[in-house]
Amino acid sequence: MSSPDASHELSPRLPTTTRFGRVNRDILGTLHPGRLYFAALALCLLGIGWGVWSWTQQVNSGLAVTGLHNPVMWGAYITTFVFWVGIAHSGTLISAILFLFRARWRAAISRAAEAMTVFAVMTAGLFPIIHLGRPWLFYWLIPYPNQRGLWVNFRSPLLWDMFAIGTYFTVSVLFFYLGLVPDLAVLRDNSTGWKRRIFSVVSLGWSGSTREWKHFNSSYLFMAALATPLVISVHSVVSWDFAVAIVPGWHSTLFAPYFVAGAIFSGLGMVLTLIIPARKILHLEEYITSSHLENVAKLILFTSLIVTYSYLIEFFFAWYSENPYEQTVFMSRAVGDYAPLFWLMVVCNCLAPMLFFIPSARRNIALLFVISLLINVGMWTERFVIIAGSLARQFDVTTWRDYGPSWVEWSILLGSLCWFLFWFLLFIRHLPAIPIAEVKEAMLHGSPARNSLTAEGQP
Amino acid sequence: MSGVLGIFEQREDLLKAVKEARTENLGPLEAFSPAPDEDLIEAVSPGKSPVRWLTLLGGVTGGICGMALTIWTTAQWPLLITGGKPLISIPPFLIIAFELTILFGALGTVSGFLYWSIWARHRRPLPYDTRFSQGHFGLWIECPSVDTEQVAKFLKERGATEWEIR
Repeated sequence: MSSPDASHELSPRLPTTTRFGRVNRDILGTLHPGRLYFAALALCLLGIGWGVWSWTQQVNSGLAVTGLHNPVMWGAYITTFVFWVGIAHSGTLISAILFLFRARWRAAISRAAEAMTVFAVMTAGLFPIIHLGRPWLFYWLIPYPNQRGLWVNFRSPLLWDMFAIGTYFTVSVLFFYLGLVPDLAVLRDNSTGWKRRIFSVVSLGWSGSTREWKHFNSSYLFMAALATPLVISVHSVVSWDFAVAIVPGWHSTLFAPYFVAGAIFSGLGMVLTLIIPARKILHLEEYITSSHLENVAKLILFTSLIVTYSYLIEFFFAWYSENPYEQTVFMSRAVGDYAPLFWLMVVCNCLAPMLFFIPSARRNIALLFVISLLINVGMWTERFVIIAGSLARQFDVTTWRDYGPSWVEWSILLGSLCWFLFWFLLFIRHLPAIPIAEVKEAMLHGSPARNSLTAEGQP
Repeated sequence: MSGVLGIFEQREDLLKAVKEARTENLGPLEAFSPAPDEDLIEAVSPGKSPVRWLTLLGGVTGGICGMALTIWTTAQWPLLITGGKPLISIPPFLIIAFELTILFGALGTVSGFLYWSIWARHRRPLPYDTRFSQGHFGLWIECPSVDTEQVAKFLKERGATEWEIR
């Protein structure tokens, strides 16, 4: 793949017919992975099956099979919900916010990040339903005209959540699909038989005429402009699920920006976790280069600093407020029963990313991968510490009670991870993992794929 | 509908051909490219895309719907557990209105894309070559059938490697 002959084919001196043909071949070549792929797919299905079986146990016996008990009624499920919603955010950051800022390097990783957004929201959306005692009544959250004349309470943050997540899912899917249409046309023109028929339908008969591109460009720009405030609103609303309550450790105006920064931070970690193995397996090193990964590492460093600042300022709030309940919660966080989790979170989210101040660390792929895994663990732990840790240490000492997830909760958590990976695996098998049209657009402006996608546009 | 489809290998040749076809007023034009190209769009179809009006319409509709839904349903079923706040509490309702503004705005944008990019093309189909999604460019010039030979000659002189008379 990186032989001098092959990369010569992307040289700007050659006609576009040669260079673009090479792009099509490389990116469509990713669609034929081997036996390992099917093994991974089977493993994911097994994990999903195990999660579903555990869930049937919970539906059968009720929430008693979880570790949830007064006063900790929000535990691993809500933690995992917040975790997956957060993962989704970096996809929108890369596809919408960096697009508006004209950071060209985003093109190489934008498709994978957008797909990750869609699948992460699909995973997150399961958890509020799993958490319900009677999950079959989840549709009561939707305001619809009914015989009893009942309406939902729009003053409840849980309703805001429903609207925010529902909108986020719809907009992410539309945005993902819109960007995919020209690439589906490439797939159509490169396939035969029933595959060609399917791609003909889903590519909507795209022909690449100038007028189509004109409206496409305009629509893409507006979708990016709509997705940008949306992504900030979604995690703000998620944070208000907590901040609007008066629970010490939750009741803070800091929560919205703090959660948004944390969400982008965790999502960027997940981007690296998925892309580093994917580029290796799919042989896309020439398109997703180490400078792309370095740019993501810089964004991680930046968001990590915001998250670290938020951790510090939370303790400052508790101290400065002179509120004994707030102070107790934060003391318990740092030195109490949940302290090991708190310090794990500090190591993963604050200390480990500091290595990215060193340029050579940002270019060390193995180190990037390890730190991305640490960030995933650290951000799940952060939400657990905030949610369960605060509920376990509320106002009255006599109500204090520790919480740990039961095997059912761990199984469903594992099942959700497999569900997410399952969709991602299907995605890299069936759709181009890199936006073909965007790579070509960058090459049209007179530079080979590698340079134009990497050199300019530092985050 | 008759005309000529020329296939180009060089973007610069195509751009020149489009500009000259415009000045010679050969007939309605449509170009094809494997990637979006601002210069080509400017040459073939100048002006702004009307999609933005549907984005605006969708957004405004969504905002109004959000406020109407929250206020109307609250008035229909007045839950008096507002903690001393008015029944029609604007700040939380604004959150719903905001989300629906974005949702309807996005739906409007995609409808605009489907209408102007997809539906308009299906209504008036043009010839297509599968190489347009690879690396080739195309230029379709619509003209009366008596002029097709002349237009084909024009395209050939401007660097078209192949041409097809319809």
